[in-house]
Amino acid sequence: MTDAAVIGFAQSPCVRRGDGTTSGVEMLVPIFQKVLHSTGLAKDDIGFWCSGSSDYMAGRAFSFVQAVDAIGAFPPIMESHVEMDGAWALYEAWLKILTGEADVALAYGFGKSSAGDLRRVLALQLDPYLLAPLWPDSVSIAALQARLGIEAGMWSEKEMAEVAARSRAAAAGNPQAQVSGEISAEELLDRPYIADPLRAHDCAPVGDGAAVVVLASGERARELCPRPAWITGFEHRIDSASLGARDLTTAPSAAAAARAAGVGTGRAGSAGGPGAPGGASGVGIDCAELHAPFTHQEILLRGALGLGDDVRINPSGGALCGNPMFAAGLARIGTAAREIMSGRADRALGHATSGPALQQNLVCVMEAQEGSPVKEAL
Amino acid sequence: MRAPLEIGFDYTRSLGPTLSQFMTALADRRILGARAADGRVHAPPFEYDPVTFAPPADLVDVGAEGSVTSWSWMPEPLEGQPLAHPFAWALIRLDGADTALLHAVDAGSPTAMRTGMRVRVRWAASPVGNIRDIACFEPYDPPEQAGHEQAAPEQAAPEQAGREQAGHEQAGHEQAAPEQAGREQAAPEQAGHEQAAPEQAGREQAGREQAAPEQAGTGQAGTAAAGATAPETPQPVTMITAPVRLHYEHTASPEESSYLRGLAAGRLLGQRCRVCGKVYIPPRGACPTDGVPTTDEVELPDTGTVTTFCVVNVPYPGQRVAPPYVTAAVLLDGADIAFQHLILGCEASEVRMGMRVTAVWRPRDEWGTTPENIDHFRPTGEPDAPYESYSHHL
Repeated sequence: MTDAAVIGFAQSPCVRRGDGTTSGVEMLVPIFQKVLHSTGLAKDDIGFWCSGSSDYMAGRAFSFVQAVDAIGAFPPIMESHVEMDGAWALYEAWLKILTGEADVALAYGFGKSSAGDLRRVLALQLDPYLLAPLWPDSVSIAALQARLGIEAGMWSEKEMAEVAARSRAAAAGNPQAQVSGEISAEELLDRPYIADPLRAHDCAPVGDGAAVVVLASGERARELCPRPAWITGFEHRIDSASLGARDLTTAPSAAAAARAAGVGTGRAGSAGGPGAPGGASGVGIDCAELHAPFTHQEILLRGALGLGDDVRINPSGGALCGNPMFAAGLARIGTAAREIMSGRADRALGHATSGPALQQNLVCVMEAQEGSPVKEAL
Repeated sequence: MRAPLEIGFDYTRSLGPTLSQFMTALADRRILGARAADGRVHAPPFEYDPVTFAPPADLVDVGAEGSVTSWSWMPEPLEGQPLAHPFAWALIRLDGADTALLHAVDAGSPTAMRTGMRVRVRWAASPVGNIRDIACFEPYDPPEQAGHEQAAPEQAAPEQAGREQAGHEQAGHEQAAPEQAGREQAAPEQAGHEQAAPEQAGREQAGREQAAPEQAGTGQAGTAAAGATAPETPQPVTMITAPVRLHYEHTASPEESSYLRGLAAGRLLGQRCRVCGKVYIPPRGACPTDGVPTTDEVELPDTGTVTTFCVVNVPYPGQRVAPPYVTAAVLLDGADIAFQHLILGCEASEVRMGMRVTAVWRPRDEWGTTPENIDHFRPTGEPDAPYESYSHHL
């Protein structure tokens, strides 16, 4: 089977309310140009394009079609779309590389959350019979999960505030971040609840943005990038849509995706230990970008993925400092890949989530040197 | 430019065998759960066992009271949520169930909420077979330790009273009044949205359709659930109507804004791609061929050529013009993309490819930032454009 690597990444600034339209064109044109320039590729070199976005963000049907204007789709291109975060578009692009249908593929995600009321829009991703008719909002659902963990002693409001403070400090070095800066956990804890037990700092900011990641097959990747981020594991799993039937203090789908992606087996070719029972074990991961739109979810995910204290978490500030819907998960993978491409990490993990309270999880493990072939998908 | 964009749709969803039983029971003020292969009771019921993937063998009654397993406080309820005044979202494990149901608790204040507290269902005044038949939950202090055992008869009494005499039932449930008030408070909030009325109408209609046969069979409903010996089963609820109303602020791109402002001044403004030289109207922001931003504005005349057309023979509600009439792709002189408009001022049968047309503008005082400023196109009477002049735009 062919190897595949991330060779390029670009992201638009995350902003509370951009000037652009819900088609995403205004956010996408500059980052397409940036990523093509950085990889030395031309539009015609891209064998497959795949987007992740949502009609419910735009408020109209087939909204992704207009985004194709940003590509310049003539002569006709091979193109696809997922009504998911761009991380899942990247998964489809990865399959196109593995199956030999393309040797360079580009995935992008975009979302203009500011166009509507995101908390209500996200209610429509819930069970349409028993949950969505009640319009439970995304923040309230996360708050139910946060309380379960607090009362089970798995995290505290103070630990949650510390996640926010660390993320904001890290984001000071990220020009694309929407929220950043030095602030202490104590100061944050003095602020009021917005959805008891969540405070504003526990929740990702609502905003607009886009991201793009370029993949290439083995030979092309070596030509195009001095230090490609080779994908050694790429898996996604999902938990039940029945919120009340799940144990919300865990994310079995995240742990399962991590195990399947080889997070616990150490670097490709090395003799890493097996994953811990019930969770993965992040052997040899230098850096992880976790798509945790709520502070407690970062703590939960670290446990589910088996990431120890030695793993650098969200050097970009993560989703808590910029969470453009349908782009933020892809941006996590792109950011993790950039850690490798820049030489700051040898083995990195990018994670994306979707659905209420970490229902669906995707894990992409990348390494600096070309290791063993991609783990055979089941 | 920005403008409000209102989206509304009443999703009608078929329920399938398990949720049909669940919703039918709700209309009868009962809650059903499903027993999984591992013995755990899921309420609301699963459609397929999470372990064995088998549909539930049979559904079992669970209590209308339960315990809160987690909660969060909603200080400013959003449109469509169960209560219009501050409330708690809660995961509630109903008595007899092993999983939780998400719903609202009308607790008044976050200080009244705690994990483990007892709550009971407040039913909607007129259940129809929808999860919103549970209006919300309310805090409930069991009168004594043996509260669990008393739960069933206690529910049954007002329930039956309600079935027989709706008036008494409402009197019995004192809490129903504030809930009703809450919904009515929500109405003015929704009144600003044009779809609010049809939504409620739709819901009530669905209610009537489902509730009427349901109530007819209500006498048997209780026994049907208790034992399988009922001579008749109530008319099952097989569909739900789920209204969705979303509100957006739609943003026109800078290029589209320029185009719309031009229309308000009676001008047709397109843009030219710097790479391929093509002129787009309306302008698109990026050249769909080259993927580069279009920046050079071009003013176009209001004359053009019909490249292709169709004769509309089908009447539909809201139609402006009586069929038959022609809608056509009009290629303005100097443009590289056609746009769609009406062709009037001649018989539909006279319209042809290559016909030369000109815009008929509405009176100037009716102009706005809209393409509707052009009422229609009419034939100019000039000789037809040669096929080669527009063939590459077909």
